[in-house]
Amino acid sequence: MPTASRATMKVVEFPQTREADTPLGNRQLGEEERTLLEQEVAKAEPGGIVGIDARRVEFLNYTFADECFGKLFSRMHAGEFGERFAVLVANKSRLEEELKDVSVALAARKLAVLCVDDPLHAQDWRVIGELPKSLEDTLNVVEAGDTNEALAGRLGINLTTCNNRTDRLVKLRLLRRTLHQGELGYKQYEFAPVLASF
Amino acid sequence: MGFVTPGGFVGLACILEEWTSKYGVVPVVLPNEDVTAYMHRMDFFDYFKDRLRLDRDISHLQFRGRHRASLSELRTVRDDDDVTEVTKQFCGTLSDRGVPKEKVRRCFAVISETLDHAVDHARSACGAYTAIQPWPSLNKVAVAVSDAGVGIPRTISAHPDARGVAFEDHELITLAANHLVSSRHDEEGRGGGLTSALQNVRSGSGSMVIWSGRGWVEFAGMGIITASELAPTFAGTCAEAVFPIS
Repeated sequence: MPTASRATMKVVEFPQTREADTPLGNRQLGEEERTLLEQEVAKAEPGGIVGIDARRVEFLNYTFADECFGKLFSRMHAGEFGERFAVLVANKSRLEEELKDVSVALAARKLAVLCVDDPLHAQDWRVIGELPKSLEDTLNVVEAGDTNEALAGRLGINLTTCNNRTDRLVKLRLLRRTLHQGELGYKQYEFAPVLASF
Repeated sequence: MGFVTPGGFVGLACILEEWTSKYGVVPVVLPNEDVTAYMHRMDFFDYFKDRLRLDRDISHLQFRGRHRASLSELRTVRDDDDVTEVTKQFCGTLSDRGVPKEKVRRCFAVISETLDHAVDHARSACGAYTAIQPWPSLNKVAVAVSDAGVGIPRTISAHPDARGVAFEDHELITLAANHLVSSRHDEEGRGGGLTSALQNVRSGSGSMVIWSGRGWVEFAGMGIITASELAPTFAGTCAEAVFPIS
């Protein structure tokens, strides 16, 4: 069975321009931080992952979250960074307290992001933001090398529906997609979880 | 005047900013000695100096004791850097005074979002005034922000969501508290700041008053609006939130 190639994750401290205890509470600061994150993502190898380590953040508001993360992931969703990924590094408690407005801001833009507690244990991921149940169910069952046909069979849905779901997950940068050429010469997409190879 | 809250004096500061810019020196009849001393401790008079003509000498007040940690002095904010500096100082001071982190975060959300609104939308010539005040004996903390800008009703009266729904100023303020209603409604992601501030107030079992234009709205509890009415005109926006500390 084909598997996803081993990806690399570069973990960057966040915030980068200020001390960790600086309250992150306006658009100017959000733009400064986003610019640096965008540079990190752009520098990553295709298929590579940037881990945004927000475990030290103490205070962050909606406005900052929208300017920094809302716009960053909006641009990624639009395909501006190609086959690159970004994930948030923070535990569940921090995501629900200090970083709760990140999820709210992403949801307002109908975006979702992968999060991990610890970049060394990236197989334990979760999603924050807005992700419809059908996409979440699909994401949860994807295995490296899955095709739309295989996934549709596993989920008990028709191929078109499955194709729509994987297409949306790929655009959200929550799923890897590679074009694979089969033994008979036909081409088809194969999928893998973004963090599968960690 | 027998008592003044942070919302009261940040609002008063903006009213005086407007009047002094229009009329020059403004005569002021001071309140009783305790309130005057409190306002002095908050550095209120330092911001106006010779723009006010006080009805009595207050120079003796400089010898009175100040609150420890200079907790609740009036502060002005003009740009994003000021927002960062002031919120950092407020968060630090509240934490030092033993206010639980969760409550500090709520105060931060309210102050930073309302200050950001003042800097970003209000176009206030004097910037924004802000202050915080814990009342340990009442188990409460108050945070307040005021600006002398165009006011919430005028900034969103042309919003598509307002058409046919919100006509009066208090109705427009209530609408602004709804998610993604912003003067910059053509920019995705805008308009969530005030909503976020209000959600923090509600989830923290607090209350919030917003006075802007002729609108006066009091929010309390889980989405309950306890008052929404027309009031004397406030040229700008004045917001005060009060939370229980523990």
